[in-house]
Amino acid sequence: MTNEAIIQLKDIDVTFHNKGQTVTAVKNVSLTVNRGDIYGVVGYSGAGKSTLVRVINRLQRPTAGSVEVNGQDILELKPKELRVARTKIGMIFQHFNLMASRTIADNVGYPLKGGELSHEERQQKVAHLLDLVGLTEKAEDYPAQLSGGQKQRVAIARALANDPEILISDEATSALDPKTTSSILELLKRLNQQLGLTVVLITHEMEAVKEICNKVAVMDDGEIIERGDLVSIFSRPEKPLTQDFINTATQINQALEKIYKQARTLGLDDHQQLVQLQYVGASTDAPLITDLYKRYGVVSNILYGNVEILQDTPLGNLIVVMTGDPDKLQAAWQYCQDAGITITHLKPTDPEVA
Amino acid sequence: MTWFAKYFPNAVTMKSDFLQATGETLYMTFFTAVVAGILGMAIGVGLIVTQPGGILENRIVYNILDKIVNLCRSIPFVILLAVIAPLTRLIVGTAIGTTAAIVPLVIGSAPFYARQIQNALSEVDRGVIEAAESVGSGPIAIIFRVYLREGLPDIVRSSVLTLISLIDLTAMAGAIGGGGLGNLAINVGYSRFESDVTILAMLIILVIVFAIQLLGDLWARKVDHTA
Repeated sequence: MTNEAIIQLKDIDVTFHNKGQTVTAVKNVSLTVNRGDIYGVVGYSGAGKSTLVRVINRLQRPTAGSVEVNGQDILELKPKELRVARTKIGMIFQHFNLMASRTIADNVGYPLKGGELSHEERQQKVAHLLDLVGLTEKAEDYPAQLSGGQKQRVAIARALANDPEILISDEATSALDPKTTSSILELLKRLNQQLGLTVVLITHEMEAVKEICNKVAVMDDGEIIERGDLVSIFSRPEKPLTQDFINTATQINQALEKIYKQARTLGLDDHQQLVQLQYVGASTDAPLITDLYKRYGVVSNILYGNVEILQDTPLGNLIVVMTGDPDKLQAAWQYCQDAGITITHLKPTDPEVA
Repeated sequence: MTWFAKYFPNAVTMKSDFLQATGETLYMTFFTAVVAGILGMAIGVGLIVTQPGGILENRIVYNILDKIVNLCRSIPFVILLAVIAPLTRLIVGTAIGTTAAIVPLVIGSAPFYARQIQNALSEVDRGVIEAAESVGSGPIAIIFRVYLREGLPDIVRSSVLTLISLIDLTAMAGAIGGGGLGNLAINVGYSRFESDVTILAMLIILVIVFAIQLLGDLWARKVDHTA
């Protein structure tokens, strides 16, 4: 990963006029993607993510703003130059968009047609691409004979045919089951590492981002509301929407819901407190629970625990009931905070169960 | 052949007439199909690419093509034959005869075919077009390598449909001087009360139609890989 920007979107606006109605799909968005990044753009449907990334290869012309890809001003390009530029920006789609009338090998070789390669060179390239995505034996099949995951692999091979430096993934895993999703994400990660491919990944699932992205931007209603590197976004989300996405991805939401239901029946007293402990990086290694007992006599009952490894950085979440004297509890919390652990006091009566 | 002579007493004596009429029908059908096919294909593709949201969106061209197709399709063929007789004379030199019939046949069938092509191509997934655009395909490549290729099964099916309705039209053109099996059925069989001639002409047309339908279905199935 370098700090060299490969995609620079500045002040992008996209407005649609439809039957007298004006819809602003993207509002004043700037986004910089560096070479080698796997940049996740997360948001619910209708947030404008797809429109935004279509600006990168000018499948969508922005109403305002500037687009620079690989040092080229995309908006200034003539049609022919744009087509050349597009060969260096691969794209994959939610519904794969393969040609039903062509074999797998033909689909993968499609972008090379009319190019400089001879027939033999093209066949070699196709064979290499199919090998790269692990579908060599399907070369002569038709798309209708393949599973969803296999179709997406074909689409990836096709997108890579012209050796692009950028791959745009538009909800590419949204139509796939969880296991297939993981395998496609792994493939993207591998391509990122092997080929130095820069990936822009649009999704409504934070799980996908969590698995492979190093950076993430959260979109809502046409705007980027929060962005940053993956670990800091996951450990310190600021906007409620971001927290919501993360809690869904880490399954804390589901856990909290159950715990709250139970906590209401438990009836916690003054000596008990329900807290969420969150820790990043090295502090996951410390034997915290035992420490708290030894030092302050505070007993922690673990209700839920989860550790995510994000970009090789562990991110832990614990939901515990701490029992002890009120002043000892205070001291224990202070100790946690000093150790770099974020403490959130949870109130079971809180109706805000996200 | 005695049963044939028994049931087709007049037709049995007209072997050469039938051969000639069948030849004329096939001649009209073939040449009209070639000219109207190219013309209709071009207009149909034109409609698809210039329509709102198309790859070469152009409201003016689209509206002109759309109006022409609608206009030509609104005129009943029998009337069209008479109305464009001067144009036919200009192109072919005469308004009567098998070759002359090709002009109204083209004008009568090309717009119909154009609509069929438009419908067939509108079934091509917009996402596939977008994917082709995203790998750098230009309009010409998208038309020939995506639209016409992906739409082929439907194009074959609608071509069969158009061809069959074209044979219907040749029969009508034949009745007013274009020759062919229609001419034989009406001007000989019907006018002279030799109904066996009419029936035989009809049977030959049926055989041609069934043959086209059968071959078309086989071809469409061969190129269709969607299931």
